[in-house]
Amino acid sequence: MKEIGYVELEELFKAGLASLESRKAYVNSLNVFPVPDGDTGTNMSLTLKTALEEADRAHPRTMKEFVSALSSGSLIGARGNSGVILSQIIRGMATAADNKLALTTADFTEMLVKATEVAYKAVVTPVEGTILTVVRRMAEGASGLHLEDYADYMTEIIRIGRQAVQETTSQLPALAEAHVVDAGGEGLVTLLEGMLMSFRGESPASARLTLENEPEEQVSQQELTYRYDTVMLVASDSLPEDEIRAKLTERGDSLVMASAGGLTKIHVHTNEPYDTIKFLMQFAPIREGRIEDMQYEADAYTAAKNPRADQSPATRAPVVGCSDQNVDRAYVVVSPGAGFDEIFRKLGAHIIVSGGDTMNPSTEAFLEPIKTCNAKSFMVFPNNKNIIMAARQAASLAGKDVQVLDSRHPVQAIAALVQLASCGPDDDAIAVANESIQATDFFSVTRATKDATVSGLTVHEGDFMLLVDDNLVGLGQSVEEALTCLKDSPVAWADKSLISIYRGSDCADTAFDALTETLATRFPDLEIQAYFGGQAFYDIVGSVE
Amino acid sequence: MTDPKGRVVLSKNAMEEILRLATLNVYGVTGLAPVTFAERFTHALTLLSSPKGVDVQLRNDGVIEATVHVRLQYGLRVSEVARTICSQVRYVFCSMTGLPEDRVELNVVVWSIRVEREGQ
Repeated sequence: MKEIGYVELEELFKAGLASLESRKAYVNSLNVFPVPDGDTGTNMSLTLKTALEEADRAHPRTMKEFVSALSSGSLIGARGNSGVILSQIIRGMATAADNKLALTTADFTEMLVKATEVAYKAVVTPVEGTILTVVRRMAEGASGLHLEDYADYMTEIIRIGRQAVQETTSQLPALAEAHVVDAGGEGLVTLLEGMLMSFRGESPASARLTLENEPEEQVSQQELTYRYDTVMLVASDSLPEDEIRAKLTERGDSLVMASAGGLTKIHVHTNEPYDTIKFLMQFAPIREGRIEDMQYEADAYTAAKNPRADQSPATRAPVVGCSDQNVDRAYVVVSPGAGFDEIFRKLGAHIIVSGGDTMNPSTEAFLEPIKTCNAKSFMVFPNNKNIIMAARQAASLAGKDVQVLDSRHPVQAIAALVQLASCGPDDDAIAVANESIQATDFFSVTRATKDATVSGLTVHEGDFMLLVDDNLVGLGQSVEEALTCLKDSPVAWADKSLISIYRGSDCADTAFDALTETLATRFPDLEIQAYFGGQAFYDIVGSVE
Repeated sequence: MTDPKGRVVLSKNAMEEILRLATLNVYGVTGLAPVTFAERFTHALTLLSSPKGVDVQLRNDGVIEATVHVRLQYGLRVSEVARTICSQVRYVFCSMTGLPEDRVELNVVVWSIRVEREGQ
């Protein structure tokens, strides 16, 4: 294909969105801090999704109408930092395509150049190693290309983009420390890969083409047909390609072969990597190789993303409507899991909004139930530092008496609700709540998803981390080991009397009982209480008060 | 901050400088804006002077209340950029100074939006 109209362009962006969606989990995992709260992939795909919905609603009949709807849609839908940058990239592309009827590859280059220009305008001191670097490198590379066919052109752009993404690790110290590539850059190239697949008539759900030395992502839950991602570098650039292709696709898929400078890189998914090696060695010696178990990776991702399907926030009723219409003051709490829902209900919370790390409820999630409830006043416990903003915004839009408290963890809300239950009608409820929030230290144990160095501690992937008040204070090979670091944490133990712990959906019953025992022996002076919390990601969360 | 062997004092000036740099690194921020009325006045007269943009107050309860006054690029979703400033600047500030996040309150004032005509 050499020219595309606005209908094709829309298809391309849709394919880009599908590609982003399918790799969202991977892009999310590329965050710098090892706690699993990255949301770049989600933000980028939601931004693009809103943009496309907006374009759809506008029923465009010309290129101009389509791109301007897409551009304004991406602006409205921009979510998070990466979403904002993506909206600028789309806006730049839109201004370049605005006055065209059909787009040649040269026009597409112009779009990339304009996208770079617009995206860079919004930053004072651009840093190398971000999504901006990636889009600029692709635009620069595209300017030197004279390929008329879109499939060839896109292949080349993506190659340049991938290269740029790989290099981000060495450009930004924070990325190097975490051993990751820039998530935004990865997201952008993933989007373009979706476009390329659309030119080739493939769907993003089918195997991805890659020439890069990076792990193949598969985030589906089912068993993989071919389990091992096998990459071999063979010391010859004149292999009988047809023969190899025929033989390897017999018992494998996603085959990619590329030759250059006396070497051939062969990438295949197979169940018999040893046969592949044996077969290839007939032709030439193998320079190096890599075999990865994709089933393991897929399981790990699925587990990380949906810890337990039946208890994941998505399947719970997102909002429990106002249970009692005639109360004076309704409590609105954000809860991260089924167990917490139950506890909050028992403590008399009127409105429960699901949310937590990586699942921040929107302003509307607060606004809707507050609007429909007749209570005279509302007290909101956001229970996460990233949710406080949304809650405050809801408070200002509600047109009712809504107070947002500064609670950064569900356990703080529990402490406050307990205190509030025993306070009389004349007490200053806000002061009581704030006081117990202040007096409650919270901690959590979770697994590191990446190697990293944080606050002077070297974290390895899979380590259990103990976070107290959101700061990393200890590490261990097991939940128990991490939890024992609590004793050395900077909590003012002198005026504390109670430790409560809440079991996450990933933590087994028996292990939890053992932990409770351990804590009881470690802290003989304190009372230990244990509950089921049902939160995702965090094996254990708890409070000291 | 106290240490058994001495004291580390972090001046208001140093804190402001860190906040300035961190804010200017946020995507969408095209510049800082004058804080005080007097500064606003001189800024209007002499366009060359670079505005301070940051105000730091130490409250009695020990919380550092910082306000950053920014100009943003036109065509961006202001709420998202402001949210990014809040999280990113606070993160940088706290990790550089070692202050716990609950000791820092960060306010963002969007002072103006930079508009550019096409082709400029």
